[in-house]
Amino acid sequence: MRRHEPEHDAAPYLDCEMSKHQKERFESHIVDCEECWQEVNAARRGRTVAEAGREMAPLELRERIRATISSLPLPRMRPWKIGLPAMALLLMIAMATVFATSGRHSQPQAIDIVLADFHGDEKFTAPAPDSLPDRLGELTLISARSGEAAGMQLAVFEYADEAGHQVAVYRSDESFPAADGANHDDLTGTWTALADGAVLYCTDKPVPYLVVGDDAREVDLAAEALGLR
Amino acid sequence: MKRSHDHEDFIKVALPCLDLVYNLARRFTNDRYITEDLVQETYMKAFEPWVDGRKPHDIKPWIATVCLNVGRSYLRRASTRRERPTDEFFETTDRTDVEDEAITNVAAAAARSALLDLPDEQRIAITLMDINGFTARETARIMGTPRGTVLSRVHRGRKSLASAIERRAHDHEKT
Repeated sequence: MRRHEPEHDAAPYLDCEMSKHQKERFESHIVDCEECWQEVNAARRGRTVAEAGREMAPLELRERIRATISSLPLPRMRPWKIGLPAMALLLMIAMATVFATSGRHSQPQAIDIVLADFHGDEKFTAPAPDSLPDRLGELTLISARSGEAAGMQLAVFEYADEAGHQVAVYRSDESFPAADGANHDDLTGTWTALADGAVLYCTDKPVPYLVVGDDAREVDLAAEALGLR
Repeated sequence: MKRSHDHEDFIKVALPCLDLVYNLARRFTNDRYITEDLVQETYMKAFEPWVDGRKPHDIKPWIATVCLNVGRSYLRRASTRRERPTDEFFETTDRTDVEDEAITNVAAAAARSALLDLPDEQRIAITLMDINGFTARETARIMGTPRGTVLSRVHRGRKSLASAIERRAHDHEKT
């Protein structure tokens, strides 16, 4: 059993970060524990103080920002981008043709759930059975969780850096289904994909891993740091 | 200057986050004009990747991250001459109940003053969670810090805020 740590429990309790079971257990505990009761009360009072410090941005600032943005020049088109609109149009026509002839494409359910989790709709809330390194280059481990997605047991390790890049590493005992439109590398048995604004890299070695990020470079670096490349 | 679709699109999506950005920028300084400059810099920095095709999936945590980086740069530049909070910063209001408004303003000014006295990382975590409504997970992602660390910072910050306000009330009673 974990040590009695009032400071450790008060914030997750107040911020609804506990599971139903943890919450019930903590609530029955604080009834008899003066120390935890005081801790939660002090934090609640502090939260009220913080909320009182909330402000509205001045109206004239809103107008100033609007005017500033409107006056900003668009970045100069880079040479390689000049043909991009035309290429994008051709690509869209090609995709629409494929779409019309083969029916609606969708991700396998497990990939859909993983993507929703990556984009903030937290799907896995149980504690992770173990951990991965606290740091992968500039990325810091911010949470380790586990859960189930379409019948697959998963552990997820979320990383972020100060620049706002996010990478989540999903690990399972069974292979991840390939994302729709994935590019397979038969030599290494890996696949990569772009889906729902995220970059995905998947491998089965040493065990099935799916690395998801908002930036291809960060996904590469994380996969390399974990020895998955 | 004629606005492009990109300008319109960015303004439409990003301007509703102004209160969020303002409250976050406000935690880096007690000077209203510097706050406004930080907000403006945040929007200018966010615009470039936007028109470069790097639009975020979720604008709020993204623009909060941009603001955080702008604010941290400002703190580094201003670290040797950090100004102290004052109580003179009140919003203008057209409410008729002047007395209630004055009490609210005093409480808000005291809260802001107490917030500015917190260590930087506690103040930022509290601003993201308690003022801007981000979850611990979102805050951890924005700050690039483990979720447990965020919760610990928020908890310690809240306790300090509660103590600061109690001390202030106690001092007020004595005088």
